[in-house]
Amino acid sequence: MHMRLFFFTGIFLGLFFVPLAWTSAQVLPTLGSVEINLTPEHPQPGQLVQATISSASESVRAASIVWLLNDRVELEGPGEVSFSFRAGKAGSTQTVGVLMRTTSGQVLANTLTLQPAQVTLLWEADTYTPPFYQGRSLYSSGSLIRAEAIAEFIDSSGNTYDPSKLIYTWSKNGTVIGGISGVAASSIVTEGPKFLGNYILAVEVQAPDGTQVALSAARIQTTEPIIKLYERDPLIGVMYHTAVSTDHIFSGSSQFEVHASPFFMATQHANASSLNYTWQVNGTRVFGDGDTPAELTLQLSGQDSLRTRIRVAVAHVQHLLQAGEETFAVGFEGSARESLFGF
Amino acid sequence: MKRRRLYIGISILITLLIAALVGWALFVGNQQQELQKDTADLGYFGGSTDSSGGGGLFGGIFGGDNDPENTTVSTEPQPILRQLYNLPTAGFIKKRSNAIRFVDRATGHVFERDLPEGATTRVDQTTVPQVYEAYLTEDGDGVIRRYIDSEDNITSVYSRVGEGDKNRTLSNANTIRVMPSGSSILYIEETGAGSVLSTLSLEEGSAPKKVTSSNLRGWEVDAKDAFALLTQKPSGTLPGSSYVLDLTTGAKKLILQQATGLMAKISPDGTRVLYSDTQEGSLPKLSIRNIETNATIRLDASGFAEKCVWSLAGAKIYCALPNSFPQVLYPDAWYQGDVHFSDSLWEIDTLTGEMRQLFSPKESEGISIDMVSLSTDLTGRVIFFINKTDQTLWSITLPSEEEVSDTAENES
Repeated sequence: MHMRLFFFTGIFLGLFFVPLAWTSAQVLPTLGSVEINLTPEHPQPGQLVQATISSASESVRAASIVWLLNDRVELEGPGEVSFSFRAGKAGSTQTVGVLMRTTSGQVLANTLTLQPAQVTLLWEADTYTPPFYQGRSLYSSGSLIRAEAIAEFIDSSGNTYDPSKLIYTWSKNGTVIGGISGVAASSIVTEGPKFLGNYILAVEVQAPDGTQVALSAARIQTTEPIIKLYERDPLIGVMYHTAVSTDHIFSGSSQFEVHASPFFMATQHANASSLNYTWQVNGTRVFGDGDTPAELTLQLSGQDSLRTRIRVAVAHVQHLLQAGEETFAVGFEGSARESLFGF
Repeated sequence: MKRRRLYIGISILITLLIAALVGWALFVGNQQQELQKDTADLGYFGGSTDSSGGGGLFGGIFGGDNDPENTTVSTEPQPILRQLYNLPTAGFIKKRSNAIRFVDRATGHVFERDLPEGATTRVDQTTVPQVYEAYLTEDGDGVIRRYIDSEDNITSVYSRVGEGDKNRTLSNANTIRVMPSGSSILYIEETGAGSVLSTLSLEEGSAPKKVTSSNLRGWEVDAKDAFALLTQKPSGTLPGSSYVLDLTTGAKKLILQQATGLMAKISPDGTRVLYSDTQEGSLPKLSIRNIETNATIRLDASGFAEKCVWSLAGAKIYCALPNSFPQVLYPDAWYQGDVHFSDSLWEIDTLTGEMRQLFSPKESEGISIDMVSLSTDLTGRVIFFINKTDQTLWSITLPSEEEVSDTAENES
């Protein structure tokens, strides 16, 4: 009963005295202002939001506080300086209100309206992965980043905004990239971090009337290229499903072909002229197969099983930091070659 | 007396010679059997071949039958594991009739095998060497063979089975999926500006219909007839997102956001998504999310959504769950071929999240299988899959409810 009285008193004071406090501070000098801060500032639909109040005039810790969400009392009590709630669906409207009575009897009120909208930043690097590879292209130093923002903005009538009408502001580490931001700029191609570094790529999307804002960000981190070796089977092609590893055993023939895949280098294909391959077998420099330098053919002589160290180093001719090498200690079965039945 | 000793000596000698000959014949028989089995499956002998075992000089009498189904001895009906093709397979489809069609990776030839134990017949001998990936369309009457050139460009060639000379070619289609109807495909073509997603009816003369375009190129697609689930290709180091695309309007609805190592598969009716992610570098965990309510069931299972298949009614999911995980970054190391799993087949109730192990090839047969490309037949009793380790084609047949109840009645 007391709280209800307090509530309606608050509404009354809020409606009539707070505007007066702004315009006639001389008349009611005891009234101050209260601010509502949201974390995150632009919540996405369904996201947990924390509303916190701050007041310059007096400590709020000892004050009696009432929180309202869409005009319903959700939380009340002394020192309740923050209130958590879940943001509504995209396009829905939520009103957060707060009433505060300080120990000196001062009454403060404020309301804030939010309309959740959603944007998600998606990105990948413009780097090489083998055909049919099911994983992501990662960023290596000097390559390009391809990014896209998928926005879900719905107006108060329930209509989805055309993405080409929205305003996209892209930034790197908080610095706006002016040249590629603007209306309908939902996707970009930009340089990645320099010198093995990283940065935060962010996009802020705004409705044409400015009523809805959403933000999304991603950390772009540099990775080093990976060199994988695969056996090329004369019948079925490159066996991308099984990488050659240390202790890999080749069997069944006296001639073997291996294929090097330079994961995450800035190239269109493994045999591109932008890549330099250096092959070594047991420390001796050997050369790849003519137009296909990513491939090496090994012709074995003799009948004994043997172990061999194959080293391959790949360097990008333009991007000095894009380089990788790998050494494989592999074995070759002798039995298949010397067997009576090893057809 | 001397003569008698001579006879005994000759008898022993003859016995030893016979034993040696039998041993030799067994050895040659086994070698011949292996050789013939491989070549027969390639179709080099022409006509129909039976790849279910047998063959060889003494194979049918003395040779060990490697079909694991016969090695299980139990009173309860057990799932039956079958190797349907013992050479690398580029793709397959379970036909509406009781048969499976598949494409040999080395030759591009299309074979049909009657199920469960029938003969294997070559139904299309158009030779396309080194087919890395193949899709069978129109209940197996059409085939799309996908191969690469020295510059890693992917070429996809569609033809009707048995009409290889009349074909259509798609260039730079990084991803292709056959719609459930079987008569149209969805494909993502790489362009200078990123990628374009289109649908294409396989009817002669039909033109592609562009649905949407993207600045990104790395998409995994789970296609249904009216919509598709698009998920960024995963990495264990990066978050990814997933959205449903309306194939008629092009409208996008975000379903999953910023989940690391994300893989996702949508239910047949489009109401739920099975997904896996790796939180903070941990092992991949499976979950089911209701698209409308966002309610999520976190399953008590480590596995990849890619190694699962929804039942046709959507009530169950069949998943190949690895028995153990080597300490590497997932799914990157698995995709790059650094590790292979030994899986067990599980059934998951999609409403309750209740799980039940159906079959473990390792425990039952001593075989390690890394199952991918899982699909079910119309009854949901047979699960077909490729073993990623050697690309061979397999099936697991589950006992029917009648078989289980009959056994229970007999035992009681």
